[in-house]
Amino acid sequence: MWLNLISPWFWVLSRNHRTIKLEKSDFYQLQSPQFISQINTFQGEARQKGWGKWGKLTVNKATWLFRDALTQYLESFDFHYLFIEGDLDLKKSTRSTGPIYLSLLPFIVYGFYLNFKKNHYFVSLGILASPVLGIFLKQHYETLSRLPFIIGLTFMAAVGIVSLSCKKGYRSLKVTFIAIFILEFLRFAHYYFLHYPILLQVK
Amino acid sequence: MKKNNLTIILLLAIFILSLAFRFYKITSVPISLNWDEAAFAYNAYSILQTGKDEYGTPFPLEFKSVGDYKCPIFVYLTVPVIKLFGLSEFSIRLLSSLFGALSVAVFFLLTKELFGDLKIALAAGIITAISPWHLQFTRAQGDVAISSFLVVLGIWQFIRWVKQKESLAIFISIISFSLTFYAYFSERVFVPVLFLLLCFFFRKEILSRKKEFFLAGIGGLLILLPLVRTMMSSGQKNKILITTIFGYRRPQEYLEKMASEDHLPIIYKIFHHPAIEYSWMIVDRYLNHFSPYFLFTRGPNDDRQRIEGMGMLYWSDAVLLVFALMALKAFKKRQELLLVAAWLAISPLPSIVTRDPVHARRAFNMLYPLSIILAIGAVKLFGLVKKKKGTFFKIFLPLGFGLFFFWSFSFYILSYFVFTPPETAAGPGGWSYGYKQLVEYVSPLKDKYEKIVIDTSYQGPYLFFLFYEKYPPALYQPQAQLVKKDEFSLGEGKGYDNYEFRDIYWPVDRGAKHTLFAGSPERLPLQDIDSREARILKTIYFPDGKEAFYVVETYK
Repeated sequence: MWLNLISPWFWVLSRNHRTIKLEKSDFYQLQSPQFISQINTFQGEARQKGWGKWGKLTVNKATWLFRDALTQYLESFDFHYLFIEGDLDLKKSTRSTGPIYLSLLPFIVYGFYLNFKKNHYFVSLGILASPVLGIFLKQHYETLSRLPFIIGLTFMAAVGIVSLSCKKGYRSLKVTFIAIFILEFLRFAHYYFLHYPILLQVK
Repeated sequence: MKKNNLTIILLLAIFILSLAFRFYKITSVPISLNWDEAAFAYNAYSILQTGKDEYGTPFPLEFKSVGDYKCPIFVYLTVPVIKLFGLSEFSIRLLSSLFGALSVAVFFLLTKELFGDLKIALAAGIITAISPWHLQFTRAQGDVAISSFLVVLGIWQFIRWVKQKESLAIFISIISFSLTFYAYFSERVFVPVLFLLLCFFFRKEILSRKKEFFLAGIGGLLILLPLVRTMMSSGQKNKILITTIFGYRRPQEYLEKMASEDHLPIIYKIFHHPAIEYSWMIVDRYLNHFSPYFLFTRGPNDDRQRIEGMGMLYWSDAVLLVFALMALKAFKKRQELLLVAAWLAISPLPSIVTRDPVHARRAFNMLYPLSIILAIGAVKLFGLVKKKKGTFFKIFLPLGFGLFFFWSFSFYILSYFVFTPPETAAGPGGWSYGYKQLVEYVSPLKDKYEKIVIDTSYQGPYLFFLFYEKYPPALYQPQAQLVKKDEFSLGEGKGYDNYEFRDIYWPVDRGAKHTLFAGSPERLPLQDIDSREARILKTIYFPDGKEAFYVVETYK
């Protein structure tokens, strides 16, 4: 819980929650001119080169919808989005860090490993399925729709941290993690209080 | 059938499959030669004709071209090919494709040696043979094809030495590793780390057979010895400064903005210290190489590396990755798997200190461990289909994956041969399309004009003129001159005969009498070409229909 409370996504979304609105145009639309024109362009190019039937079979509404959905789903796992820059919208990210602290990454991996080891597939699968919400939106790297996923990853990090802290020894590892985490937190806080308000004003 | 015979048959089948994928339309896709390929080819031609590179240096160990420095192996290996087939597009791409196919075959043997499992080896071989990433860099841009072949050969022989106790293998291994230093710059970062990794994993075997290892090591060092001088050269330092973040300076405007917003100097000094910001950049670059963005959805930004509409792997490989994760738990060869994971982890190292956010070519070595992991996933998937009962495992799973794979593969083939060429044809970041057509048009007119000025906006035109004109290197070497705009630019060949390669500035150049100009529409704006003083003789188009070059003559 406390990991979520000090996470960048929580601070940024809490600050801007009043100004963030989802509109109809933000949702994926199957009949959008952009979607249709992409398909037509690819089909046209294939036809010109004599690959017309192959082009139609490979690039059509069904396959392109599937491709776009898959792209949106896989985007959720992008490290650059999760840990480095976050949402493309300044209201949902400071752009100096992602929604989750980078120093939590090893613990997320460790958390999944522990779950896997203990055959707790249900939790892991639930977290891995949660970015599905993101596929209904048009925007790329959108944070609100990925919140269940982000919270799930933070939970996994917590599982990893708790497991490591319960282990005897590993003193230097624990001290190193705490030092890096504090540094990263302070780095984020410095951006959040000093640079972010100016960025928002400019926007 | 005996197991050895089966291995040989499968090896041959994989090799033939790899050859087929690498030689099909080899000269027309990628759509044209890029300036690196032209530089390699012309320098090989120059060595063949004169024993010297384009600048007249006899048998160099680093080839200076357009102010860039290239590793020598590819050039020297191309010499006999040019002798046989002449200076042509086919000659320069032949070796890439051949070494690409050979590296797939060797990789199949490596995987078999490592895991002792023919199924995993076969799957890994097929996955690499048809891999978009592998094909991208083995159908063209040959230096990385050769270096990766040497890396795979080195690892295979190292493992053979450990497992089969064959003394000769360690010599082949270390020689291969040493030769990679002459094949591609990135290997100079990657191979030492890989070698240390192998030494760590097999330390017991090394300690028990110290003498062989030591002797092979001496052999390797002897091979590396001639390189020491070139590694200290100013060209190398310049290349490091131009391509890596070590030569990168943060913009003054950014630093001033941060300092003013931070209020207290101590805050600025801590959080904007170069160590902090550069480390952040390096970590970002490292992680980018494992991101779905790079692997599946979009790939790198560079036009010579990317495939339109997809990443460096097939979309369906994402499913195999999931099955690989499922297989890991019960996987018995833990030590070998750990080696593969470590191999994967160190592979992006050459790429993360460079300025590009992600680089498929410099991180090319990632592909092999990834292919092994995908192969483990594929074997797991087929194992489930074979062993488990029920409609899901017998019908839905194979049908679903089969359809997904068919679509991914189909999209790749379409994208590679149809969608990508027009998207990536233009400019130095792309495939430098248009130069061949330009040379074919301009070259016959050469003697009609006092001067022919070719604009350098698309970089390296002199290489294409030398290459397509097959200009005698003995005549070019005395005229070779590099002109640089500043210390960080690559520079351009100044010209030869009546050719001049430089930026065209039309407001001034329009006054030149009886001169032929060739340049982009930005350099030769249509509205400024006054019919009283000049006329357009020819327009050369990019494949998407946009103008690439205008050829303009000024009157006497």
